[in-house]
Amino acid sequence: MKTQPEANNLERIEDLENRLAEAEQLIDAIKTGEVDAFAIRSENKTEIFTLHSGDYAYRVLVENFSEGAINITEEGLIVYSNKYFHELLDLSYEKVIGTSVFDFIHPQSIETFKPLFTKAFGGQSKGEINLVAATNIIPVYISLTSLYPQLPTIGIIVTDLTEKKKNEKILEDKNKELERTILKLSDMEARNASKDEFISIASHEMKTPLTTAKGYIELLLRSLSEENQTALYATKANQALERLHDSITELLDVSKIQNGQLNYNITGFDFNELLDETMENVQHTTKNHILHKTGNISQQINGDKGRLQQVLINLLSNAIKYSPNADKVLVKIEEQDSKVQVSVQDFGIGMSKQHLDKIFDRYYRVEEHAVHFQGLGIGLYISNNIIKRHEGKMWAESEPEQGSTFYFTLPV
Amino acid sequence: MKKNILIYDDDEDILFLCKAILADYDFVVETLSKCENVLTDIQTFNPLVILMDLWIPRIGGEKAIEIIKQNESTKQTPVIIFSANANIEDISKKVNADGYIEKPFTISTFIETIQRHVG
Repeated sequence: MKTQPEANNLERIEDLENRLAEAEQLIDAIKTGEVDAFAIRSENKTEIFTLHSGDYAYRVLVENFSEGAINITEEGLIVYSNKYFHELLDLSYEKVIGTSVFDFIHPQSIETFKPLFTKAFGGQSKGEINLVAATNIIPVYISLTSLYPQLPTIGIIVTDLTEKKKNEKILEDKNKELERTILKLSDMEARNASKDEFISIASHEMKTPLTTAKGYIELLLRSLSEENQTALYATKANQALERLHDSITELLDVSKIQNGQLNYNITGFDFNELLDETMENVQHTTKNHILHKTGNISQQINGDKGRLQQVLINLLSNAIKYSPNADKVLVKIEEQDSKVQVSVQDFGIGMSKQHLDKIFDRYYRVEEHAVHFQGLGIGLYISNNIIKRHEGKMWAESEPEQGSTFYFTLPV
Repeated sequence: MKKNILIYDDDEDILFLCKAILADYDFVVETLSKCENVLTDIQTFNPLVILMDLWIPRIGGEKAIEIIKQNESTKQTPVIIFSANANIEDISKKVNADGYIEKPFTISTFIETIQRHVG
């Protein structure tokens, strides 16, 4: 039987062994990093002991954070600031620590900050405020987290919004600019629409009396024999009205091109046949010239037949018009790779190089010829546009007094 | 049987010209400058063909053609659009017209187009 002191000693040894085991476990846990702080309760308070090796990593991380991190007491005193935060305020660490956070908040943001601060004691809060730095105001996003009950402080992560705000401002400015542009465009569109309507009404108003005049002249011509002098006058008047009609149509076309409203009705057709037919029609308008054609194509062309005929008429009429002393116009058609090339050559007045680049411009007229030849200077502009819209090309070669050759290509 | 033609146009000179041109042919021409009573006009004149201007006061030519083409008793009557509108061909297709004469016109085109529809 064991004596009493013996038994007490055994109990104490057992207790010590247990405590040793506990201590060994704790040391193991610290070694493996499972514990980085512990609380020691003594008398009426609890003290937190952190292990230097345990929070080292977090300190470094927070210190080198590319966002501001501060810790403030319930009175608002800053007890910790990372490097980023005091650099953001352009102040030294010493000027920041121990200072009230309210000193760095813009007066107009105080009322925003107060409820966020109060709310943070219950957990978390977030919001946007302005900070006052040494020389400027910094918009920031703040995220407050209570560190209670372990620490009687609030941790705040501060995100600098300067760049974001700057970008937002740029975006806002751009948006305003865009809005203004849209307004301007719709205004222009409205004005263009009324301009189009005006041209449409004007051309209608011009065509109606033209219709009447042409009709009566034609009736008059029908009632007269060809030998009658009056018939000649009537024919001249009719020709003048034809020219007027062409001018009205051309002006309307230019207006449509300008507004992108020249519509194309694309079909596949025999271009060769169109050329023959057009040459035959134009041949009737001249007594002095013979229109000769060389070449043939077998391929069909996709395009607007009416508009392409307009181009051919324009080139053939020009060739006749600008070669009053010549007796022929040569038309050549040939297939090259995946395109058709048409040329119209005259032996007339021609033009110098300086005009060649400009003759496809709107309203351009060769000055020295304008006295002798009528026209608005828009026929080639329209033709060139039509060819371009068919993904073709148009150009000219010319020598003064030698004549001109106009070319265009169309894809097959 | 008389060959009746009904022509709608708001321009008196044009209407007078049409009458003058058609005087040499075997037609009875009736001209009107308003088209809102197109159905009763057709009943009254019983035309073989109608020429319809587009820019005509009040309801306009397009609407008048729509009325003719939607009415059982008149939809068979050929309607020719008679206008200076540059898009006359497209409009003609759109409103289901039977043909068109673009102003200004030549007398031969005018006569040929009408004759094609009166048989």
